Amino acid sequence: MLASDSLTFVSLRGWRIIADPAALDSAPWPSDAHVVRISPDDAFVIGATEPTVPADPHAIVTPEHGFAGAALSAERTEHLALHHIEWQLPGGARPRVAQGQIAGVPAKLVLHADGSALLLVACAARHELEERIA
Amino acid sequence: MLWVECPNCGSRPFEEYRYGSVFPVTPAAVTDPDARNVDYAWMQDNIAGITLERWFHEAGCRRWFTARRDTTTDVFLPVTD
Repeated sequence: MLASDSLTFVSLRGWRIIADPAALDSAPWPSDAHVVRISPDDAFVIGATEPTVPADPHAIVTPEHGFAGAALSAERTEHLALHHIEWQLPGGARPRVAQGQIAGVPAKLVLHADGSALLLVACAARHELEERIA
Repeated sequence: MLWVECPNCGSRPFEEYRYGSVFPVTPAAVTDPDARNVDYAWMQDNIAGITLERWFHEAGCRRWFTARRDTTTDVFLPVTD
């Protein structure tokens, strides 16, 4: 238990984009955006400004309100990896997205260079994850 | 523990996945379209050895992918196109 480091989830507002992978690679993201690449053709863009994908005229861009997020300190991220994640966190350059079950709940981690992370989970599973990793 | 390599997310425990099915391969000798449909849907080979399979990474990227698995050892092998 990390008593000094409480876990607070907030509902996230953003945009979900399904588009050609190369078009997502070259997309000019809004300056206030935080991009979470879920798969080569799927991105979750956290931010208020609607993004565009000029290189793919068939890109699907819809509002996404289905995720909750919590900012984790480096200490809590390390604790999470040690006690609640069965798989290896990816190495290499940061920021980097890692996804899979955390404490048995499907979730995503955006790993930052300083060791901290953004923990994302579907809103429907938010309380379950909170209880399991508290 | 069986670990499955997701092309997007990396190696994850198998309970994160949903197994689709063996990737059906209809013999070229079956040429009639209806017969090919029947073969595709119903004629399962139940191979003891290396099979092509469809898997869904439900707890990760939520994408379907094709994997090669040796059903006698549960070892996953690289997919070559």
